[in-house]
Amino acid sequence: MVEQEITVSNKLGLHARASAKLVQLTSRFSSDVFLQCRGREINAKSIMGLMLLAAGKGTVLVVRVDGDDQSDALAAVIDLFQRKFDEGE
Amino acid sequence: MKNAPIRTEWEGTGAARGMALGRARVVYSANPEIETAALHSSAIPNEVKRFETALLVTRKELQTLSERLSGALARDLIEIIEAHALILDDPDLTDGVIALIRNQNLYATAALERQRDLLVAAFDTIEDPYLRARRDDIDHVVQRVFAALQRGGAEPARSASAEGEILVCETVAPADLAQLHYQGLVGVVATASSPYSHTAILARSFRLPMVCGVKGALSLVHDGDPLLIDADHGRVIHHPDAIDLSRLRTQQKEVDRAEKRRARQKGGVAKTRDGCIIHLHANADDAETIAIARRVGADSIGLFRTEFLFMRRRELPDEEEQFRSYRDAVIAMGGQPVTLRTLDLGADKAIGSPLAIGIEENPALGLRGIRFSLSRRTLFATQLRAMLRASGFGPVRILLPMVSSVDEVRVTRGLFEECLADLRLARTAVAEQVPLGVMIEVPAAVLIAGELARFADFFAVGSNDLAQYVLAADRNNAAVVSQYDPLHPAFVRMLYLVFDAAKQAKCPVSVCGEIAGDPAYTALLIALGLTDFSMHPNSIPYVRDTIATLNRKSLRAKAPRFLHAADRETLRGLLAV
Repeated sequence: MVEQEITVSNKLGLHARASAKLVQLTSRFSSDVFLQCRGREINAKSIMGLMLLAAGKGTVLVVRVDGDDQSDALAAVIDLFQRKFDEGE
Repeated sequence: MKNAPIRTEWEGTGAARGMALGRARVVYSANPEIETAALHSSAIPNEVKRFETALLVTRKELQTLSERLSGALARDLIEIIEAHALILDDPDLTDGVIALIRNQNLYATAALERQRDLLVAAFDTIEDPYLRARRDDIDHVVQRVFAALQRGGAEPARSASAEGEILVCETVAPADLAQLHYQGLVGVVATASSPYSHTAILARSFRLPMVCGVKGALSLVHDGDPLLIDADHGRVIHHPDAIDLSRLRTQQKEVDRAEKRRARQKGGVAKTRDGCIIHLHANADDAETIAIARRVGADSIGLFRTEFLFMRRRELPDEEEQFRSYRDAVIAMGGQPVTLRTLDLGADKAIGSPLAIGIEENPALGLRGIRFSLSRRTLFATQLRAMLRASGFGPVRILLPMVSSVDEVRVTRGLFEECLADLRLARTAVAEQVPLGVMIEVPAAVLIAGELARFADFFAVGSNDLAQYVLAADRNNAAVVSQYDPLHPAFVRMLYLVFDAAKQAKCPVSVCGEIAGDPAYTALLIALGLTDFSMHPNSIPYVRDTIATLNRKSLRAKAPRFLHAADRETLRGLLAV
């Protein structure tokens, strides 16, 4: 199992389209991917869970990945957050 | 006998500006027939199957919708539809419903309603208004499944023309709104929804007046009733009277007059009151923005961004692909110059495997723009070659982002000459002259602008980044956004330094950040001596209108006062006169 802390830095936070991109990404990996925030943990392959996390800009999350391709999956998730979900300016 | 209609006025929240008069098109999306009876155990497998079929039908429907979309907003809408497709597949929704059918002996409609209520209740506790508005997305998906359940898998009924109609609904899905917009819809009244919803965002880009949160409208309005929307004041009037209509006409006349004025000047030159010509150029990054630029009569493409070619993909675009994309832009401009900017990526924007720069502590001050290109010479040469080849099809200028030293331009100039010589040797068509310019967006570049002008053929001021670097404030950081202020004396003086150095060196200069397209800053920029503005093409008509009200000579005479202003208030005062 690997985990890492990450801050939501795109302007609108984990809204529907950003959540959709995250689900599309995590679904490509066989590992289980979870996000923890404010004492809750949700499955990062569920768009509803992600949206309900209501993680606005500045929220600190812990990404936890468990499975065969865990390092790749974690790196990809961190990369997506750092790219601000490709939302441009 | 029918009673005379009674004028009723409702208050709501304006979600997209403007006024509209039309006949009501009432859609009771929120009242599906729920089968409340208990389901016989033997019917459970069939009911689960019925639900799964409805999911399948809905999935196909969403797919068809996204295939049918085209035009400027297609990309955004398709992303929303993809999110809706994921909601549809989400086990939180589907497994929940199936469990309710199986364990509680509920019909599919009843199970879906209960699961929807559960999820929506969770959303209603979210504090962030934007994220809370996402409950709309769940509602839209669930409504589609309800409709599919009730049709029993039949094709959805094709909606007829919506010409001159105002939609009255609880909430409407973005894709459906797009459809209705193409069919002639003139406004939206929603009993729920919020200005933060995707639907409201879309209504704003369609310039479709929308008022949301109009409680009670659905129970009183009938199909065909006359409705007046005054979204600027968040008002909806049922059965408007003569006074309402005359007010609407007055406002429409004003809007028409402004539109006509713009139409007359369409393609015409932008001229100040005292007859000085100002050149308006367009910022573009695809065929659509170029088409708008042509329509509004832009003088040239003052900034063509090339990042889109490199983003969201695993392999880099080769020279051929880049060339085709630049060439198409050049051809589309029909002989007017296109300023192609070389790759402007930093660690915060560099994506995917091939260009990933690695994590930087401070990407705004890191390896980006020309620095990145110079660290990847082969990649850079490929881009320069593709741009030079495009110049065989029409006038091209090449622009280098994030320049902070003379050396960067000198080295690039060398590489540029090598590429040019290679292409000429291979007898490839290349223009006689391809000007090479630099973006002025780093304070260092402002202070050495005179020296840079010896190696650069033109300047383009990137005012967004320049303001951010001068004021040490990130405009995307809500905590310091008030520090990010183009009306800061330091920023105004920086601009003047660039314009002055350019004038001394006889080097053409334009501004291509947001202030160029914001009529609030037009007078300031003209006062400081600017005559070339580059902006989103949609802003061109507005800036052109503003220019027509200004007197350049008297503004120029005020330049010293702008430069000596000590604070924002003084600058505002000078602009207000």
